[in-house]
Amino acid sequence: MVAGAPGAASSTARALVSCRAVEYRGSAGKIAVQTSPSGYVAWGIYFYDPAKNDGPWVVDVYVGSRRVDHKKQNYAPHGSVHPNDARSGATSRIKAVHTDLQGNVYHSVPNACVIP
Amino acid sequence: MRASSRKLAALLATRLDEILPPSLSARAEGPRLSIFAGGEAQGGSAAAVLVEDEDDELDARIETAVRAMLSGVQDCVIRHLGEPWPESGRQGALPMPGARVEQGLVHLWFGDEHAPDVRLTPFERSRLME
Repeated sequence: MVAGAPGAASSTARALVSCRAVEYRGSAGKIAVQTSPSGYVAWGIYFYDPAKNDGPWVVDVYVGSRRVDHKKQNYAPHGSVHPNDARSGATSRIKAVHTDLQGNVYHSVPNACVIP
Repeated sequence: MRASSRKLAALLATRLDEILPPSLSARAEGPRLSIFAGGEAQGGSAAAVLVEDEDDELDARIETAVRAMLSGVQDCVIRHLGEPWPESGRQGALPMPGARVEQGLVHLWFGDEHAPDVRLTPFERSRLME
């Protein structure tokens, strides 16, 4: 996660790596993605300072252009994409916006990986 | 005719109420499916809106939305209980949510599709439409 004004970060990938096991680190936190042998793509977003996790989150998970999960919650988000939605060879990406209890707004770091 | 996220949230709330631990209950709040403990919201899922995306065929969208909703609820219940939920017949295994639309019926379960640990009451796809 990176702090900044709305729209300060995009979901454009720096490089397409495998979703087998990858982390995208930002200035305030990171997005972790890993794929299980059975094909579930598990992901989580973690602040380096856990106190920043509280507050509203809005997260969308995409496989290709298709949205496969949507979360609005007040605790740190994580999830897993079912193998039926996580087709091999497609690109997975996560778009998240979070506001902490001090009112600071964070956007997801650019991320995208290829599902193995 | 289009699928309604509000109707999906309501249908899943009634079905989850059949299987949730006694200390928890499910309630639809618009398109949101919320889990409550003693009247206090514990979380839930906002994924019902996926059925209203228009980038795929309807049955696939329903299956994706239901799986995501069950997964969000499962995560919420596990956070509340501090232990795996639902129980699995296989030691150490967490039953993963599943959904399939077949012949106009939406089937949903946790675990293996053919031998699930928990099967929820299916509903007719037509009940989602408005």
